[in-house]
Amino acid sequence: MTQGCNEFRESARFTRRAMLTVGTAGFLGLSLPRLLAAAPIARKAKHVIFLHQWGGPSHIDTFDMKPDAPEVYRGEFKPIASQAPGITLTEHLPRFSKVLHKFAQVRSVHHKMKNHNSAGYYSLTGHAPPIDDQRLRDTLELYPAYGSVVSKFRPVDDPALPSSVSFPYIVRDGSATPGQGASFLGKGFDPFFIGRDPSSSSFSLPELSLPSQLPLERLDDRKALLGKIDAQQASLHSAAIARGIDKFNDRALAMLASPKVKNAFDLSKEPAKLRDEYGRTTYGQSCLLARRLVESGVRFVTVYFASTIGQGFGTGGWDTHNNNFNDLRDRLLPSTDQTVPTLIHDLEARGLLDETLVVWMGEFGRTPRVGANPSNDRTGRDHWPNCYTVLMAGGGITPGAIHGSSDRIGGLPATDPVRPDDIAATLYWALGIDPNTEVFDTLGRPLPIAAGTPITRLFG
Amino acid sequence: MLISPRTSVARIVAALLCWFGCVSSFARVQAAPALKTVRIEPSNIKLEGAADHRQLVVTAVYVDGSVRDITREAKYFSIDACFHTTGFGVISAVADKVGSIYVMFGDKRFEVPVESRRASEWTPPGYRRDVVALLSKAGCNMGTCHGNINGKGGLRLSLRGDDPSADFLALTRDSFGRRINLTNAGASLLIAKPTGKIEHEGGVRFGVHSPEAAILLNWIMYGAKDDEATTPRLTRLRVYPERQLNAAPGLTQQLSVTAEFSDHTVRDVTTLASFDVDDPIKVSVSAGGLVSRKSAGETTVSVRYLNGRAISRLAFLHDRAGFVARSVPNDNSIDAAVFAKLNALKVTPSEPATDAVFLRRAHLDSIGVLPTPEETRAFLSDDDPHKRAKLIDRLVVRPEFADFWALKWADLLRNEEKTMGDKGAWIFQRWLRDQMSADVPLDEFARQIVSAQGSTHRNPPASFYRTNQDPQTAAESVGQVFLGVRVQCARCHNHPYDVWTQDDYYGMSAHFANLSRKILDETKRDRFDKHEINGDVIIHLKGRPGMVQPRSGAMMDPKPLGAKSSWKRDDPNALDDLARWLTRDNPQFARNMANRIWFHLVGRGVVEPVDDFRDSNPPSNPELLDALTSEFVRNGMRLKPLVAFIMKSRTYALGSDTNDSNADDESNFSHAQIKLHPAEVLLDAVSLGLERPESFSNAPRFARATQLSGIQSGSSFLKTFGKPDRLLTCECERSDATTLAQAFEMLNGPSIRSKIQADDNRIGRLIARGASDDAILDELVTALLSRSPTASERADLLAHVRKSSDRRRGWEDVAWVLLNTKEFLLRH
Repeated sequence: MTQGCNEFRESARFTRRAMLTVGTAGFLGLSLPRLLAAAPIARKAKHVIFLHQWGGPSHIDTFDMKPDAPEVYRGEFKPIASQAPGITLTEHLPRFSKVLHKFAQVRSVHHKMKNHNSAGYYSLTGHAPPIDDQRLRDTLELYPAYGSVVSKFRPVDDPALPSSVSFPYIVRDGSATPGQGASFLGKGFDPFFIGRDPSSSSFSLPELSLPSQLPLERLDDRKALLGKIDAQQASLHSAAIARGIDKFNDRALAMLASPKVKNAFDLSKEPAKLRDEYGRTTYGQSCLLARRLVESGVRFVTVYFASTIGQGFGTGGWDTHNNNFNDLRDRLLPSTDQTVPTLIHDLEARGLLDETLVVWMGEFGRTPRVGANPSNDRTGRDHWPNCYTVLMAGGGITPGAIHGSSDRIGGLPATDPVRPDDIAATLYWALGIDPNTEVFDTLGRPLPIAAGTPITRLFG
Repeated sequence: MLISPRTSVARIVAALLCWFGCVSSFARVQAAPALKTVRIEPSNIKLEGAADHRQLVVTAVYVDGSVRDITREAKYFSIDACFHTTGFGVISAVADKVGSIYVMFGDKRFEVPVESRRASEWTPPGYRRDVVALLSKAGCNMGTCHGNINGKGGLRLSLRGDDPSADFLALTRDSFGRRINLTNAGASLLIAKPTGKIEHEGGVRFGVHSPEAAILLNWIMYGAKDDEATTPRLTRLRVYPERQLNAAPGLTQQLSVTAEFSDHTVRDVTTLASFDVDDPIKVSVSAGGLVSRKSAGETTVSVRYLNGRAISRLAFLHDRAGFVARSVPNDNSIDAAVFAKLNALKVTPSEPATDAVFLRRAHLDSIGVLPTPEETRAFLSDDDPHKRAKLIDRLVVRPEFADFWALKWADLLRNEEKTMGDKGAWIFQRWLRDQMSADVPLDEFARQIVSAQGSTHRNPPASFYRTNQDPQTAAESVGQVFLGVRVQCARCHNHPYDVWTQDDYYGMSAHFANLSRKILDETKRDRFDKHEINGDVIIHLKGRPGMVQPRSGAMMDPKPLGAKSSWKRDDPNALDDLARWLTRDNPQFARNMANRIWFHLVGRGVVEPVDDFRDSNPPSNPELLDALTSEFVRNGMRLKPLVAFIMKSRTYALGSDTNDSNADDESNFSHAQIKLHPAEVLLDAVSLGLERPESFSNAPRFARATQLSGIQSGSSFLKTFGKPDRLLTCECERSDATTLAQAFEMLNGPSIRSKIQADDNRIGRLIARGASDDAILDELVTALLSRSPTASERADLLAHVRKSSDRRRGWEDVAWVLLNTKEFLLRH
């Protein structure tokens, strides 16, 4: 935790410097009042689909290509053009090249966490963990997931509908990655979690389906009888906690009974052709489920790309220490290329893209130099939190906007460095939640939900 | 004398308000007691210099002993022009004079002597005494504004004005000094922004013509200097009144705040002080120190001025004309304290709980186990007038008592398998249980833990240092567990609303700095996991204790929190010293323990949260805490006698049904708390009630959930109902929140379903025995709700069973219903 304090001070120093920069800008005649002016809270986004790319995708081999860098940096892949002039991407995302112009990109995201769990927690909450620890422990001292904060400050009105849903895995690296639950906000704000594969033919929710010996009618009978018995203890029944229990019981029953919720989870309602277009993979059908949930009103949907970081050998996430180019070309990029563009098209076709912010990001990028680590197989890239790219589309974002840039090898931010704290502030801001909103931790300390500044330039 | 338009408007408004107030209060309390006298604070006034002023606080004292703040209702005047009075009771001087002002209330007039000196000598406002305070008062340095670690809009101030020197640089130097305009002070950003002349994200903090703006303007006009060298230090901050119960219909209280400085000057700083309230929705405090509460109730106002703090504890009473005070019992010090407070607040306590409710509550609160149907029948049919006391004496010696209280300690001392190892967790659990069973004095218990060294397997209390691995965490845990204070804030900065400084924090941490660990037989499953330890750990000392305070760079000797001096560092073992200091004649240790035991039985601490003792979070009933503490100390700091003492009080035995006067009482113990049972207790109650033990992995067969060592065994039920992960040293980690997941768990979760459906559960055995429907019902209700069914319950439940196509399934429905009643789920 001591490191936490160093971080704390360091960030404070950093801002003092940043403050001077702002002062200079004013001095040079840039519009200071505008810089200092209140950023009006956007309210365009009603939903967020957070596509979390566990393992840490290579920024250089995807969206921030460096074709002019020496081969040991630029890697094997060639850039291709997108529909936005001057914006390129890897040749292995051909379908993506047709939708990339709808995305805004932040190419200068950076932090200092080199381990998956610490960096993952940072990417899932927008708060730097106290230590960079490979097995960062998930305690109530850590911050809540984005979806939990959003459930608290911009909940869904419909009682049958959860405000925040996450699936299809709990992400872990040895131990469960912190930042996937409500932490000190309280269990009531935990995202509704589904640990099952939406691409499986038997996909359904046990919570939402009753066993055959307990049909809804029998449950209704039981509830009616319970109501009679409870009513005889009127004073107990009116206590605040009793009302809380009743509220959640009613919600649970509403969810069991509501065709809307069942419907949202029922992927068989989708045309086979569209399901094919998303890809009949866990990721593909998860993104389709995300769209269905957003369509039914869910506020914040988190889709985890993989349950494990992967190792470059055909399973799991983006952690391509070995076999980087083959694994990207054969597996990770094709799956992405199949699914994400379909999601964007589908949202757009239904008029949902304007009100849905889609975020695509991992916990860090990957080393500019290929094979820098002799203990791996010389075709890998390692962890690189010093600079990576985050993509956003919809929700009022300016299509084609590029914020920040990396240096000539993708090693460090060259302009407009952005921290995950700023990404968090941007998410909340886009949803109309003031990033300075305070929450109280278990010790009663007031803490802002985001410690950064929203990148308002990205929004039109 | 000039009167600005603003003042006259304010006066008219005040007059109107006063008039309305008088009319309405006249209508409501015609039978108000007669006025006896009026108390005026201060009783004489000395004014020094042109800017000096005094806030009067005027209190009406009635013949029945009740009091009420009338500062805004009284009228103030001066018969000559030397003194100036406002309708709000603020007195200032225009010229030097020894004279008086008059306070009028109703038809009575009171004289207050005033002496003014050097009334024509004006000193400009100073940075340290005025500007720094103002930045806090206007909220500029709050965490949401410029006090944020990133600042706001380019300006970053220290959180709540903790570092005036850094703030001075930020205000006068940063951004090329453009915040201050010495040649045209009024054009300074520092004034233009908060007054709204230039767009300001934080809005208008004060008006252009406000006293705040005047302070800033004058400070800048006089050169915007830091006057640290010439300004006397604040030595004491006082608020008046420190404690007052205002009779109805009063819902306001004027505060006055005075600061004493190292040069022995005293200054009224009411308008410069910042006020924080415990419930900002119900209570507000104006810039001038007028506390207003929306409805009757209690309020603690924390006052800050520079580095000084003071608190005012206020209550505004309901108008309960027919209130009859209960006689205050003198045979039990808990009841004496509780009932006296309730009388003062005009709150009538609930009626005592019935025998059945008491039996159930006593069992679940003290041993975490439901009474069996046999125990219930025996107790309810017993006509011994002392049967409750005898029950309590039986409960505290039962083996389950030790299990249950060991569980509470296992939470706080973080007994979980990853760090303790499976074996270590059982060893530590058994040690905790043995301590509880033997009723080892808690000071001895704490001493064993804090001074523990050696093998954690052979000397289990040393496990404390197995989980608390770095000196800071150990210091925080010892502070939180054994003293009930939270010092975590002081790790990075001086605590913003408590006394703890970084020196205190690192002085405390220094005790643990030379603790060293050697791990034997490590068989961890995950070599990358620093938190996993699966062998034995030898705790030993290496070198000398001492710790560097990171901000000052100074080497701190071990010094306990709040102690006057530090230990000598040449003694390598500071832990024994700390343990001795902690447990010998340390009033805070005993207060904390007594408060925690009360919390576990009653559901709420006298100080709440229990680990947050600080001046600004006072006990809701100080006499009650004193009573508990002295009883605890009198019995040699043992757990069982205090548990029995609390449970034998009338207060503990009150019912949970509230009346009109105590329905909204949360902190005065006028009724029993209704809350969700702890996860383990609830699961055990289901198991015992249905006679279907839960089977836990890695635990003996038929173990109850309250007997488990760590956190890893057990189904999702325990997690869902709030069993903590034991990663924090905080009672707060155990969640008592209701959630959607709990609803699904109770509706159709595997734990509930399997127990209801099991063939050989209580239902199955009763049916197999050929019991009649009436007999089954009696047995089920008695087993689950600890009472007999009422006539209408019998009718409803039997009707359901009889109309069911399958008798067994009908009974399953009944069992489900009983498990889901609030009566079963909730402690009441």
